[in-house]
Amino acid sequence: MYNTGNSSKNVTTTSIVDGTISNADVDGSAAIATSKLSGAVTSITSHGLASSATTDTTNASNIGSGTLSNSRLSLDISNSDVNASAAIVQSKLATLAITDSEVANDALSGDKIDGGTISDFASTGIDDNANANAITIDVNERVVIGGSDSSVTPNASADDLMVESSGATGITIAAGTGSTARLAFADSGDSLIGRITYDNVSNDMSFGTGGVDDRVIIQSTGGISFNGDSAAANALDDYEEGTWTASINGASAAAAQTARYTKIGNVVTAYAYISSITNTNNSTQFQITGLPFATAAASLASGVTIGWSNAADLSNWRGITNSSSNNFYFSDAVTGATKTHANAQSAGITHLIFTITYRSA
Amino acid sequence: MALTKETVVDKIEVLENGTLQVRTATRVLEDGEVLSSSFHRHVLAPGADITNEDAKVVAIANATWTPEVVTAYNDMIAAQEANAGE
Repeated sequence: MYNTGNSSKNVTTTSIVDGTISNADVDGSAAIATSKLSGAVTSITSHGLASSATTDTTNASNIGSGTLSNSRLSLDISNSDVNASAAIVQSKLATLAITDSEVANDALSGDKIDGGTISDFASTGIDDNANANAITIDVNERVVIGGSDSSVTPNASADDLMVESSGATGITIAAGTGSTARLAFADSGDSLIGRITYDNVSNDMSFGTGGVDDRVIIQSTGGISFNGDSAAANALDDYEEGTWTASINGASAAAAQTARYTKIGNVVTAYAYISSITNTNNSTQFQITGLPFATAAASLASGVTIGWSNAADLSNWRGITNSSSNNFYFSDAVTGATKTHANAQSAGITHLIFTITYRSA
Repeated sequence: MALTKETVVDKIEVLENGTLQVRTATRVLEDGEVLSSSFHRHVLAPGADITNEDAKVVAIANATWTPEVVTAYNDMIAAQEANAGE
């Protein structure tokens, strides 16, 4: 070691044989300033940065135009290692998986997600994987199921929920085989003020109003009953109206006629106007035939109201149904004798209007 | 939009005594959908003339109106006439 104050003893570059300074000749605390390095440092990649150099820092400008490959980074870069103003473009990021915890709440707007449409979406709740318009909730909180295929604008009094399609449309209320399925109507005072109920046991459907069940029951076998009465015998099970062909039995004939009927349940009311009657003078019972429904048993014989006839006097003629038949006959109100075609001829019956109400079989 | 009219025998009821209650429906349809329908009924007693009846009615009448049925019906009518007014 030379005295640093004795310049005559200084070692000059010319005193050092090229290539003879080894690593051990350099003191551990020695630092060579960058300004003391001539030109670009080459071949530094063959030495690299020591993996233990946890406190060493360098600037990007010191790396020059070289490239640090991923394999050359032996340390993890933590969040604090990245300057707050640093911006890493997406193309510089390798494929990464962003976990849920790494995304702040409300951080993603809709237009940042696949142009506003979420594809490949699976949900345990409501989703639209099968139909983009399966359920629509409009700005007024009204729900439409099935899209807008029907071109129907619902009435404002019933537009909170609409199920629609361009073809047949329906909803299903399913219940257990031992239970009822119900559609309820409610207000603040009664959660069941009105109801439509289907009973999966009896298979009756009932309508309730004013908080009371079974105002009207549609029975499983058909027929309608009222006010809780579910007896089939009391059900109104038929309604029909139409025209019918009224005829006169035997040799007598009617050239023209108008006849109508109405059947409500098992009660039939038949009306007829028979004209141009040609009677035959014989003792055969005079009958009107062709009643649209057969009559019930004899004990339920019904009367006939003769509305009008061209005959001079039919005041003693009364009509009575035959049992289990499609006809009725006339008898004399005084003597009880049945009226014959001869009687009709002598009475001059050529036109007859009548109404009969009877119980059908 | 095509309007059509059809007349069909839509119900044939066979009573215990062999009487046939025949209902004919007259329907007005628009493209196959029924716009209106009305009924007419006529009755055929056993043994009645069925010359102009619908083929289905004729088939049922021929199957139902055995000689025994016709005889029984005529006997019933005769009995009703005999008992009338009692």
